[in-house]
Amino acid sequence: MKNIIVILLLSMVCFSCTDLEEMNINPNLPTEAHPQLLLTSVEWEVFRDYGGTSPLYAQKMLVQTDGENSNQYYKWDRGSFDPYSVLRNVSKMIQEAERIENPSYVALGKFFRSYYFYNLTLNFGDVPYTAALKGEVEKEYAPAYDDQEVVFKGILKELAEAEAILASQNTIIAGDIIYGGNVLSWRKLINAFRLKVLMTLSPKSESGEIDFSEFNSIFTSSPLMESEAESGQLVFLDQQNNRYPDFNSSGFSSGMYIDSTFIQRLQVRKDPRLFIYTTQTKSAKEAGKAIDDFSAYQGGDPAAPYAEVNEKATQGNVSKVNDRYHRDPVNEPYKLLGYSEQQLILAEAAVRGWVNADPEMLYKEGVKASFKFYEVYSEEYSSYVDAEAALKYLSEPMNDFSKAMNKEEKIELIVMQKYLQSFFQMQWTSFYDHHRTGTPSFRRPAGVEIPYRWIYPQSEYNFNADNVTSAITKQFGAGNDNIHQMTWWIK
Amino acid sequence: MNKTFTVFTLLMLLLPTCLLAQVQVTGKVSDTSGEGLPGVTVLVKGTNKGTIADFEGNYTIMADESAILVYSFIGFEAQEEAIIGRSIINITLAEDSKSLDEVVVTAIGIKQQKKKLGYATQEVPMDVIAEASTLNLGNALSGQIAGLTVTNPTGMFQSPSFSLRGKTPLIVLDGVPVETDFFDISPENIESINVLKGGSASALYGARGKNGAILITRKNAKKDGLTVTATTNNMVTAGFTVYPETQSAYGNGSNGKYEFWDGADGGISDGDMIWGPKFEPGVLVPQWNSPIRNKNTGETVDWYGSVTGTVYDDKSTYERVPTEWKRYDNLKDFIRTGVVTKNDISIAYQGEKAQVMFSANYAYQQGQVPNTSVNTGGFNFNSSFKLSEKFQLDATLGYNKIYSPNYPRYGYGPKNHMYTILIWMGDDVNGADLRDHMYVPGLEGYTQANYNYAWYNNVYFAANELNQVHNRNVMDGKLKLKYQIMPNLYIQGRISARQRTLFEDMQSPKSYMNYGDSRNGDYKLWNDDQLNLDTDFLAAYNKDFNEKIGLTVNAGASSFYRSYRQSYSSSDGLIVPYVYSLNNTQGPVQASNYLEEKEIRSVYGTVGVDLWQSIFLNATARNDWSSTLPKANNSYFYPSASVSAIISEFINLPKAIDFIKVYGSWSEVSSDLSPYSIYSAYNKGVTYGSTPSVSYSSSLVNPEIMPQKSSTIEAGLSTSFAQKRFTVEGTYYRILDENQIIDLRISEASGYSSRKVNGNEYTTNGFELMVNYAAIQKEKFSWNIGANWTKFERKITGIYGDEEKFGNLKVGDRADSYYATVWQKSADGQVILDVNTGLPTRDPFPSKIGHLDPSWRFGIQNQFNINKFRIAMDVDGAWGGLIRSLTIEKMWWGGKHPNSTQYRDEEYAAGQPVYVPQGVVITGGELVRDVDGNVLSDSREYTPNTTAVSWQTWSQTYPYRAQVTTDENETFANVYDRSYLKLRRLSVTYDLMNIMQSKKIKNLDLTLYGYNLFVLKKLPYLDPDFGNDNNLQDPSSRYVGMTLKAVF
Repeated sequence: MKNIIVILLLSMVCFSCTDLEEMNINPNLPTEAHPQLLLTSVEWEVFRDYGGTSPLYAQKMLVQTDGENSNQYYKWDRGSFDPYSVLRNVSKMIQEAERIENPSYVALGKFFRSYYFYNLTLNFGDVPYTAALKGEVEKEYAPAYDDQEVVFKGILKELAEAEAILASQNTIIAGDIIYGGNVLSWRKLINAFRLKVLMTLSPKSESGEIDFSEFNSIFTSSPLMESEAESGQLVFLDQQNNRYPDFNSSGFSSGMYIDSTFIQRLQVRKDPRLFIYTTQTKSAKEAGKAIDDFSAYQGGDPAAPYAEVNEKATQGNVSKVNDRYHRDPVNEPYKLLGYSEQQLILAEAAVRGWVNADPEMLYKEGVKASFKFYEVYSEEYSSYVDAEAALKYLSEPMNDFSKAMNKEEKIELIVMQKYLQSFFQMQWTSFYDHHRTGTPSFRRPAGVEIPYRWIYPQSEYNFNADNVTSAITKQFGAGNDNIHQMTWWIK
Repeated sequence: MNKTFTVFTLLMLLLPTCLLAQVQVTGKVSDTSGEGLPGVTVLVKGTNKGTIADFEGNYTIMADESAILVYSFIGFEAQEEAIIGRSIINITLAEDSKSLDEVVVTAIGIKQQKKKLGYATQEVPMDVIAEASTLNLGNALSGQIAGLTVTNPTGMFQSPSFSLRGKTPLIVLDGVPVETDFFDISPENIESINVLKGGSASALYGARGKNGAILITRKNAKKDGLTVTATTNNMVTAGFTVYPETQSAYGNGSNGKYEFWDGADGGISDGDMIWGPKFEPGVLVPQWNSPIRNKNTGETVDWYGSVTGTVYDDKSTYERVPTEWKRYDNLKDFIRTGVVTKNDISIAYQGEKAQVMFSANYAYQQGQVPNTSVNTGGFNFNSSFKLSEKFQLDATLGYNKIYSPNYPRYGYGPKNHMYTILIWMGDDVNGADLRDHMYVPGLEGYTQANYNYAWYNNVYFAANELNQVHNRNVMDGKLKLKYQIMPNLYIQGRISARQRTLFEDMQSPKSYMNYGDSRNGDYKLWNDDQLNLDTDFLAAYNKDFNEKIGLTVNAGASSFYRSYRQSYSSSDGLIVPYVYSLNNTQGPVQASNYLEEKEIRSVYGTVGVDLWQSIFLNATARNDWSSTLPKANNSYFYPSASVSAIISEFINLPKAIDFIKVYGSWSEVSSDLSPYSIYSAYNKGVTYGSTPSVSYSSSLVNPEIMPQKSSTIEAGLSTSFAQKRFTVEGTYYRILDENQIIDLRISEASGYSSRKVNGNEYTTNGFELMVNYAAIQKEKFSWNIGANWTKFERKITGIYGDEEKFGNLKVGDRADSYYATVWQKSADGQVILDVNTGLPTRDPFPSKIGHLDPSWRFGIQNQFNINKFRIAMDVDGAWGGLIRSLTIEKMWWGGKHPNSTQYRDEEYAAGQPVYVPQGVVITGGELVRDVDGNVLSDSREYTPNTTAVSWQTWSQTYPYRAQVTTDENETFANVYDRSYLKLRRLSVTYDLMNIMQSKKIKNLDLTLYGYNLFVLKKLPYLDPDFGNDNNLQDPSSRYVGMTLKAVF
């Protein structure tokens, strides 16, 4: 009896003699993955990255009436390094692709890297690039910053490499939710993006720092998008977690109105996209005005104190964002880079003499493509933006390319068309176009200057202090990390 | 409850009273030196009859001639004396060292004499806790223990949280560590609660006990024979200790204007904000519940809510008939009386060979929010059997259930009733109509009727139509077998298991608003299953060799296994309203599951040496092997040593001092990680259509991570004066946390946001003081005060890699430093305003504005005996520290803040801004700072601001979009001093058997009490006892209740 009990007691202690190490293997999650699984999540992030409403306030499309919007009044301070977080998954995708020796994913990885570093360097100036994203593999936890010039050149190089790799591939890329794995479509998008990067650097066209002959060689010898259907865009689905990001968003129902400068720009050009972007004012609607009555739309002054705009809105005289942006579960796709934008970039290049092409034809194709996009995706309004409407629109004196007298006027027309199609699309493209070409102009209170950039994130101040300090000192002088400093590309 | 109560009442009425022959006994009570002892209690044994000796120690008492008298007094051994017909009985009481010989439960259930302990422990006085019940046992610990902070959320079914010396302590139930929120433990079942504070106290619980432990021991039979106890406890809310005040003069709208059409800016400012028209007689406004009139025919129809999607959505034909613009007190109307009723019954039997206790309890709580309730109940069985001279078997078995058909939702968002009523609903909204018309006419089940369709729910619709079920079953059992091998040696083995299963679901009706969630209704469900298995073995040897030396040795081994399994599924919209089932989903069902396992194996031992029965040395050692650490580092050792000495045994002290004990200890504890955190894995990402994806974690793991380490040194002194009338215990401790496992933030440009390292060093210095004073001891009146006071500061004293900063913290900063976003200020501290707009600008550098934890905390427990009434009064509080109030910020923004009415009339009358904020505008120069915020140069020049700002704009900016302290601006502050003083509890107990007699009922205690009665504080509108105000809290309710406890 006694012994039995002692044995029993002792055996209880060794109750479960399983291997401790084995127990700590996570049964819920994998440690290795096919790059296609990463591609899907990266694409989902990249193509949904429209910048939120911030660029819409800064680009004079929205005004806020229940608080001072720092973008609207150009009072922003710090920017964010969040893109590096998506780039982590891009790096892992490249790693997994190298493991299974599938170069297509490496090529797409280079494209996504270029896309994010392009945005990052425009936002801040110098950013960590060559030393970046090596936290896991090389234990580089506080990467050094690269000159903006180095970043831009690196982007162009990576994009060229991506095109070169894909040119030699012909298998379907699995996990691709944008083009269904079509390699040629990807090459077209990547090449179009190369054009966009080079066009962004137009202020450098005289200095010789950048080789602009690449633009023409892409135009003449690389595949480019040939129709609106080939745009690089993400189509939303009416399924949980796949819906349009602003679907059901409360923000649209109160406090968010349309900027008067945006409405006026659409009105004076007789631009029917006005009806698709915005609602009639309450008073116009009550007066029974037709949807296509341009006088039924009004905006709020982005330069006035917001309480004043609120007053005007209270009177029912300010338009809001069209309901479809928050009521339609799929609304419209987000375009990372569309055929329309590509044609407008080419039109500008033609005006600048970078390529030998007819700018007017390219301009018209760009505008028609934008109309086509809304004809397809905003069915309720398609009759306002069909092919006929596009032709009529292009013949309006203000939109008629043949009436533009000189290079400046032509570029203004072209860049304005990019702006007019960037409502809830294209991120900060028009903001940088403004700094590059002066078009479009941005209304603001007296004495307020338009910033060039954002202050580096507090996290860099806290966790990469030495490197960010030297980047600041080198670019702007000690302690001069402020939003009104110009960076290399615009100088 | 009612049934039990009725039984008691009947018993009281029916039981016969009887009279016996009485004699008068007089006498004097003295101490061993012959001095008369005042205040000694003289009781007739077995009754509640008694008296108290006078100032000279003389007493007189009437008693049955065959009775036995019991003499008792603090600090002396009680003595019994049979009368045997005598009329004069003089007696001498011997001093006892009882409080020193007191036995307390310490780690792994080992009982220790308190005098031998080299570290601080403190027991919670159980009588008060049992008599004056709280919603949750945890709440009752507030202010009772030096160093233990309890934060008490004000909402229903929100569990309190604990912090012991700044860290989260382990909860131990009957010797077994448990994870509990206390809703599954009935206070009536508790025999004792002892708090072990130091590291050495818990060295034997291993990593789990590294932060100290709260040891809870459940009752077992303790009296020979059969004891039946029945308790009923009932309490209700009686008003509020803290009730948030809002402005009641203006309703919904903006800039003084409002008109409802669709509740989403389709009318006049009907989408948001409470900056609308003033409540004045004769004002008529089209509102959400105004009837609709056909402009052509003049016909009207009653309508509630939006007209969207109906024939009335045509302004050319229909209009809303303006109705009276008047104020409703919606929060007051919404909140109903909370009721708690608890009934406990226990049967205990103690015989020669067995102690058995069986108890059952059931409690029902009706929440203050409509349609909320919680039921808790269970059965507990506790037993101990002497199987033979040498074998003892202890067995416990418990089953407890918690069931709530629906409980309130907190947090900042449209699910929370306070979010809606307090912050975002103007007083113009007729709450009774919201309640009576939850749906738009004709759209029942599909569209709620409400005053707003942009951001908020109809608060009655949200309360009644959204339900979330919480259904928890907790089973625990323990079997302990002890074998006394020799008189000095025993071994024991123990297995305990605790299984918790939890089912929760959430039934969201169609049109329910929760930011980006589906407006199509939703059904979500969760299933959790958790098993904790603790097994241990202990051998104990104990021998006193002679008068001078004694030895105690314990050695043991244990294993701890925990598994946790969760599954979750959710619908994507509902096809048909009211049917909450995954079968009723519109889109594909989403589902996920999770499994986690962990095991720790340990060996441990203690050695205790007693010298001259007055010096006690103790050493412990433990080694753990944890499954969660890398193999190379998964074994860790932690030792502790302590000494305690009764100095008064060696030196002669003045007579007033009874004894002095000094003690000191040193201990080291280590701890491990959560499972699966030493290697990286991919997480599931979005599924686009049917294409799955994964993403990689942003935290870098560290396969070489080591256990973290804390060492504590502690020194204390306890003493007592004037025959234990006054006792004092003081403790100083210093905790050094080294090698902390931290997620070190790194540059995001590395691709990762943090990496796991061993690093940083924190030093905590703390003092705890406990005092007990028998202030008054008179025949019919006595007053005993217990007080505790504690202060500690945790500072960061070393940063990983000798970096300058860890986040915002610099070396030497308090770990609870509050770095806040503030407004830009001039060099002399004035707010800088924009020259054009008159508005302030946020400083991109965070500023340290103080610290969050209080500077010190205290608790005072008073016990009065007045005649035969026992009165307890507990007070506790905190001093210093900052608290940020989200509620106040949002009240300013939305226009509900009481001060937000100030300039409204003036401005609306003037038709232009009239308020000129105080501050300066920059006229030239600039401020240049480095990345640490240090000023490199400051050439700014200023002039006072003269620009008038819209009052609404100012209120929506300055007190809302950055932190403003009371020092900066009293009116617009949103950060306040945390100090408060709370009257926590007041209770009066009377044994009804004093006025009744019965052979069956031994005691019948009636307690009337109040809980959370009154508070003095600096933070307006809110209760700082809540902890933080980063969420929205319910008004802090005052509870009054009655407990009736019968012992048979």
